[in-house]
Amino acid sequence: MKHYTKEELELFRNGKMSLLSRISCSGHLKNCPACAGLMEELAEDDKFVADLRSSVQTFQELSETES
Amino acid sequence: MAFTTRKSLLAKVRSGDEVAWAEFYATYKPLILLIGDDHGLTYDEKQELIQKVMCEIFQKDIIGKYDPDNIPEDVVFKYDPAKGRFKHFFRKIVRNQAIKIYHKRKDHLSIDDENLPPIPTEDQWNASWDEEWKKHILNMALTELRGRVKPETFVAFEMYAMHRKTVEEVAEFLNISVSSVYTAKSRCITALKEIIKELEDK
Repeated sequence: MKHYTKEELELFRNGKMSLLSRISCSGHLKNCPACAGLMEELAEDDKFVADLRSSVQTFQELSETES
Repeated sequence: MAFTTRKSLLAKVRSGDEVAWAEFYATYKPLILLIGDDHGLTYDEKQELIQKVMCEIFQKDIIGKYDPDNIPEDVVFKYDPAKGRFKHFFRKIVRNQAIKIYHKRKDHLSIDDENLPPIPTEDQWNASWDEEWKKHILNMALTELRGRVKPETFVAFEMYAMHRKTVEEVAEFLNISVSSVYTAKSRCITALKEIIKELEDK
């Protein structure tokens, strides 16, 4: 079974795959725990990046405004 | 932040290297301000908290002598690793100084003033400290990341993940493929998680 890379799954989840590729990927994800696991990792990465962005913004604002 | 040191600030603190006021101040000031907020301190009290904490850590009384934003470069401190983890040492100093400022304010209020918010309990303080420290570590990790990955990888991550540009905009700006932007994001997240582990483990 051919597995998808993280980059390919990013294309899939961000709606940047062609229609046929999307149908194929969607079907694969239903039957492949490894690729489904990668999709979960990508969702966790999004949460991590959101926390990072929020923290950096907070610290930048404090550095700039409260001096 | 523009400090381009080969060794991260926290690594220097932990290994007992000399740390300059300016670098320490710029890095830790936002964390102290957040803790001041958590203790319900006013703007002036938070400024006082920063100065008191810095004076205690550097063991120098700079209040009234220098502008805290322009302290001479030779004002340095060395952390003694025998004191335990710097995180705990720092936490104790900030908490104690915040309580002192809170009580000082209380002493000057009239008995009729019931608007004074209570200082956080130890449990509340522990929870908020963990949150603020996590933000501080994330912030430090991003600074550290810049020196760990290729400049193009960092810029792609910064534009896409931090500044929320579209993947197409980033790819066009850097003249790379959309897939390469996703690769940069993935590499940077992996590197950031490693950095955070290093910062938390030591």
